[in-house]
Amino acid sequence: MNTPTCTPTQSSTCTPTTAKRTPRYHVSNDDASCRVQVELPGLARDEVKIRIEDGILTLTGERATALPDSWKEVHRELPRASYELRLRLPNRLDDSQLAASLADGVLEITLPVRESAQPREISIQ
Amino acid sequence: MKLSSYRTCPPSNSASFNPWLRNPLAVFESLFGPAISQPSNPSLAVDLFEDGDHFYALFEVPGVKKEDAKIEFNNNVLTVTVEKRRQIGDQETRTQLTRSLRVPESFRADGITAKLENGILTVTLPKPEERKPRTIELN
Repeated sequence: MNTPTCTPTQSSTCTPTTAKRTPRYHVSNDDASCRVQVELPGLARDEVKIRIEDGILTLTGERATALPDSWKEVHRELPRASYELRLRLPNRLDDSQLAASLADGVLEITLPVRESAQPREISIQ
Repeated sequence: MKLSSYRTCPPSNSASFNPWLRNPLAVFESLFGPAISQPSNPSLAVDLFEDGDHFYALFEVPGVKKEDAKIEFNNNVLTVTVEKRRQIGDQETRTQLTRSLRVPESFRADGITAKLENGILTVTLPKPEERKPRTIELN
């Protein structure tokens, strides 16, 4: 059985006109953990912030590194806005054990399921 | 393995296309031609920049490894193809994204370089000598 343990508060939609850009993300679960992969192209490690408050994980990212001054814009398709993603974390996830790593523009967040919330078998005496 | 395709965000605003659509003499129009206007599959968005000596094409390719990115230059068309791999359990999902840009004839394949950093692919095209800015002295 594979019940979703992460409940995103919003879907990954394109909102290029707003000031904040919701990054594309994927959630996968197993019995012991929840893994969230967030696409944050262009961001370095120190440009990503993760904050957890009242069971809401807020991820923000802003590109600090500007393009060289000598570069003149010719054509623009990519959204320039900073990233923001808010996810509601269910109680069964232990947010104090959150682990995050950034590689190739993808942030991977892993949240273990609390021991008490993990599936178990109870033997009958 | 499952093969799936998806679309990324559409161009941030169509307004950015308008200046050069209205003005056929705009730098962009004359250099890259109308072939760029709207790709049939807008899955790989691009930003273009220039300075005195180079053109720069920037693509967002989060999660793409160096070995999964391919850059080709053929008949004055620059084609970037990347493959995203994602592991879900023991299943691997692959998604291929591609984008072609027409480049003026005077551009040459040699000297094109590419760099992949933090999920951004930057392709640098050196400008041919005759396209570089120059100052004409008055006699």
